[in-house]
Amino acid sequence: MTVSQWSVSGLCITARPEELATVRAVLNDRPGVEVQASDPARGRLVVTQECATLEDHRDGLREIQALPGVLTADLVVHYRDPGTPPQPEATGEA
Amino acid sequence: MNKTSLALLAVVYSLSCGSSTPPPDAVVTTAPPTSQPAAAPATPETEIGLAPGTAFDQPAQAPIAFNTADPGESELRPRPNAEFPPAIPHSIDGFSTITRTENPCLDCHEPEAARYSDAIALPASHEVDLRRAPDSQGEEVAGARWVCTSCHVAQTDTAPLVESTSRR
Amino acid sequence: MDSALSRRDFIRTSVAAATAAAVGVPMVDPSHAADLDEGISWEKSVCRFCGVGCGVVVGTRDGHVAAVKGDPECPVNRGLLCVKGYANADILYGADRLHKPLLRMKDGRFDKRGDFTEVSWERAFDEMERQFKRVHSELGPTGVGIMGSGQYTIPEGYAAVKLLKAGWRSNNLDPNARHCMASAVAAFMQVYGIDEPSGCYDDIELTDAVVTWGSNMAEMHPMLWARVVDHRLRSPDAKVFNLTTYSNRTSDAADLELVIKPQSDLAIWNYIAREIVLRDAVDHDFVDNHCVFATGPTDIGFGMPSTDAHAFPAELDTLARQRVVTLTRDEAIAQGLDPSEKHVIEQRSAAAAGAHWVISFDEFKRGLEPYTLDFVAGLAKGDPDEDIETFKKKLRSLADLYVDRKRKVVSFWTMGFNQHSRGTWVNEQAYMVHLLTGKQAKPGSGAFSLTGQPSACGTAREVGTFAHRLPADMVVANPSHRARSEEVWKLPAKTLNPKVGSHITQQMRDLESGAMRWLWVQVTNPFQSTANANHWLEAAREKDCFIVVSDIYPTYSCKVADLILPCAGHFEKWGLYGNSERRTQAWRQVVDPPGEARSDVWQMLEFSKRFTVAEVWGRQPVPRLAAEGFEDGFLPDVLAEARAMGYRPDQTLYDVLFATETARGFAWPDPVANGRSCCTVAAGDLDWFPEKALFEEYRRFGLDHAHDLASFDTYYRDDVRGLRWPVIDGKETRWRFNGVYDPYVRDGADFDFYGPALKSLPLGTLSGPTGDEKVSLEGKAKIFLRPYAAPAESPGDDFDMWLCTGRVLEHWHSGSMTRRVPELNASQPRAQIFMNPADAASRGLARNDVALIESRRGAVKAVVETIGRNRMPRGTVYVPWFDEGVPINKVTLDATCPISKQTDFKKCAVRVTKA
Repeated sequence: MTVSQWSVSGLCITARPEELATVRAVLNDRPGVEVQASDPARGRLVVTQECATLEDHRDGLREIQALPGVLTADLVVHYRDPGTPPQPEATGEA
Repeated sequence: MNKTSLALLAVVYSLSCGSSTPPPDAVVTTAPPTSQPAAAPATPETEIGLAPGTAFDQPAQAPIAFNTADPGESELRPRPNAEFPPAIPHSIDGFSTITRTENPCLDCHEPEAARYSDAIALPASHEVDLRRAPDSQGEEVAGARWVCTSCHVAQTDTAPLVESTSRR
Repeated sequence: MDSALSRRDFIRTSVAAATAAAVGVPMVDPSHAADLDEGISWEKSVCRFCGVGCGVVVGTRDGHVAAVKGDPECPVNRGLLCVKGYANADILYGADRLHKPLLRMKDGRFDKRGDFTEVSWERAFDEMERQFKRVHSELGPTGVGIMGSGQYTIPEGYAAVKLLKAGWRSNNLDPNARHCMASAVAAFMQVYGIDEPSGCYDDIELTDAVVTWGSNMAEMHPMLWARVVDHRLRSPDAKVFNLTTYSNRTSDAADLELVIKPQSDLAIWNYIAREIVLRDAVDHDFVDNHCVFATGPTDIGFGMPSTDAHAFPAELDTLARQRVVTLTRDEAIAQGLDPSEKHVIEQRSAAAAGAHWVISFDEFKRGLEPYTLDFVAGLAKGDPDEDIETFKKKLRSLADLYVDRKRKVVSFWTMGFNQHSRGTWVNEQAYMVHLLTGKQAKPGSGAFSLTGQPSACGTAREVGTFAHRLPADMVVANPSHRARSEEVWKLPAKTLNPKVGSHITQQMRDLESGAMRWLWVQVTNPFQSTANANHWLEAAREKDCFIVVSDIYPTYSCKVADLILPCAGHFEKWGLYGNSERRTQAWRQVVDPPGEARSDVWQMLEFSKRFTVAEVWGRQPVPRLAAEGFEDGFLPDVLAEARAMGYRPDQTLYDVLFATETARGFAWPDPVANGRSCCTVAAGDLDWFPEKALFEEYRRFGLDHAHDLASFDTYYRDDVRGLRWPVIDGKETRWRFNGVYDPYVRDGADFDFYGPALKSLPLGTLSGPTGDEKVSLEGKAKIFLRPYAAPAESPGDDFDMWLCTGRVLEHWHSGSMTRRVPELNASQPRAQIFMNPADAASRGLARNDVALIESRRGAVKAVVETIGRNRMPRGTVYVPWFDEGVPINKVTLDATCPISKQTDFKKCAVRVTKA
């Protein structure tokens, strides 16, 4: 049995303030992604992204960076919980 | 002989300075009685300040409880407010110093490195050059923030000397 | 709920919180975000701590300071702060803030042996007044004094000067800044004839080389160091050299570190100057047109007491050097004497140490001759484990830097120079090298003294809270300066006392000798910060004296006080500070002080109501006063003239000094307040604005005297982040004495060292003046020749190590504010003794063991540190002074620079053993 690589990353996203609402909606629609906090004055969003593998994290971040209206997206925190049993369906929660 | 004079004697003795404390000059000057209520709260000088005892006492010393946790072994401590830089939760005793060319903090906390470790990546704000280009996001840590330890300081396991009444 | 999912929720929330915290986004439900922001009000302000003078933005909510961040608009620090800076909010909130006056009482009366008892302000002032008048009637104006501060706001310092000098006719006002930059001041006055740096912080981004001399900027001026590092990282050809007596964080990011022996800086500068002359790197145009050469006496002692009357027996040998010095071999060589002979020199010029005269360039060169590379390297190498050839190579590289005509160089220094028994000399030597090479008063080039405290420049120096000074560089000993001050202050002629008062260390000695018996301590903690403290602690408790300490917390000095007065803290009052680059910055009161705590301004104004003009302006004894137009030993009765000027004898000092008609014209409420309150106004129930009135009156002294400040309201404008004086037509001045930038430079001149002081000197040789005739040096700067001199005390058999003291990054000065911030306390909980691991091992000590540190004067214990920020060479230890549990100033020596009277806290001899 392979050990799960389920993990959570915390991202800081800077968007054009006028497009913040659109970006927020697009992000919330992405699998495993949730907007957790925002600073509208600075056009900033704090987002969590949950993925099964490190590659998924990397690809997800790249896709977010390429979204229209997004100026920067940076990985700030990454946490992998070695004790978590495999929960494949979890990646589907929004 | 009061406690202050005794303490003074001890200081003089420890200096091998000779015979005895000089006799005090006219020390006590007493005011006429006033209407001040006698029951007002009073604090002896030994309880004034952060070191107990009189100014003549030799405060005791005990070893400092250094934080010996390795990186990743300990929790981030709460901060007094959102603007306060997070303290370093691990020991940095064994780390090399931050030089012009080497920055041991960035070895783990630089965003690219942090992607593959449990370290907290330095935030995007640290890659903005606030002096020259405050409106554009840079790609590496700003030079003015190179010396991480000016803001992020290591912690020992030491209780506050006095409580803080700051609304945290 | 499924336990795995619940754990995931927890992890997700934790990651989100950590992310939000790291990027400074509030972690709240977005629907409530608006509510949260509404509660906080942000306002520009100024950091409370060091001389860098960072701009901060202070956030308040519900009458409480919620947070502080760096001000991105402030050119000093551009949005960044050091860890102390972020703690500005929390320094107000230690649980033991003083809320009420505390008087030593027993059985309902004042008693010097009593316990501290809460009393009303009225009762506190009653006792203060009674004790003042008792001492004043016996000793006159010199029996009383105020110890002030480089952390005074400008209005506070100005109120203190006016109360003491104009009101009480005493000159016993001296700030802790005496310990901080008096040597810098003395050198500015002697070299330029006017105080404060020619350059500014912009030099950092413009220079090709930064050399730090006795200045651990990385810890003591962190945000300025951030600019140095930033500049170095982006400038491949730039250089950063650090000269220090031990390896420190400034060394870490430097290109080259020179660990030097204490006091050898004097010889190193002369080596550099010698190289400049030998390699013909003198900027002859600059020197010929704008400079003269000068020197002064060398038999000047060490600023120690001239009497043994109060000495501990163990102090006698060090104290003897105040009177007679046997030159060391190095000193003999350095002064061009035969080192094989014994030279016993009586210190005859101790009382006139600042005298100086003009010499020729040839004499100057002759004075430099002994300072060869071999001689200086042998004298200066500070790390016994470093190879001499390596050290010589470093010295050569250092000289190369200054010699290079194309290279712009900034030399920074702080306490390593200023706290030095030849502090004035070594400051002057820095100007010597920069003036010789024409690297001064130019963008990117200059010798630049960094101050330690937030308003050492703005208040202590510019306002003149010194025993010898009046505002705007004027001095009490100068009749025309007194006359001008009497005119601005509307005083009868000869109200002001022409006799220089006691400097801060002398005030301590006066307490011990009984010459001063009433002392008010403001914004400082002198019983922790003054060297050789056992004497002063004993004097405070055992002598017939009354000591008042005003502070926000119960400090170490409060332990030996008789009355403690609770003060308003930084953001709880209005203030202005002036930083190291002549930048005046202002802040508003944003929260109210707690309990009955009051601003220092209110305290002085209120106490001044207790003195009528008749009580203080009559004939007064002043021992040893001797000045033209004055009866020997006395200040004249000026009451008749006061009456003629319209003053009544029963008017109080409050009426005539503070609540004047002009002052009351600054009405409160004032639009500049923007709705903020003023605790001085509130406590005094006033309809005028004392802080503004004081500032506007003070400002009159500097206008048209090259110290021009802008108006009070200007500094509070939203678009102003401080201005560097002189401010002319609303424009600040970045480089003084430089015709391109400084409006005070004569029309058509490229440089003009226009400072007016000490600009008429006799001619002479290295041995002394050759006649009485004086030459005018208008517009010139002086290049001083100063020889190497050994310290007041050096390690020997009994006390075998050098002790150096200073600060640490995390704590401000005596720690009374920063040690009450849990995060700073947890970072640096106690002062450690930094020592070389080999020195520790040879004494049976290991890291974290307790050591006993003893000198001829006292002993303290501290735990040993052998790694970390300071790496000591063998033979030297470092103990910071922030910790009242390690009162290291019981150990240090109170030798001072004989010219500046600034204590040398950087060197004395100690013994370290296992406790």
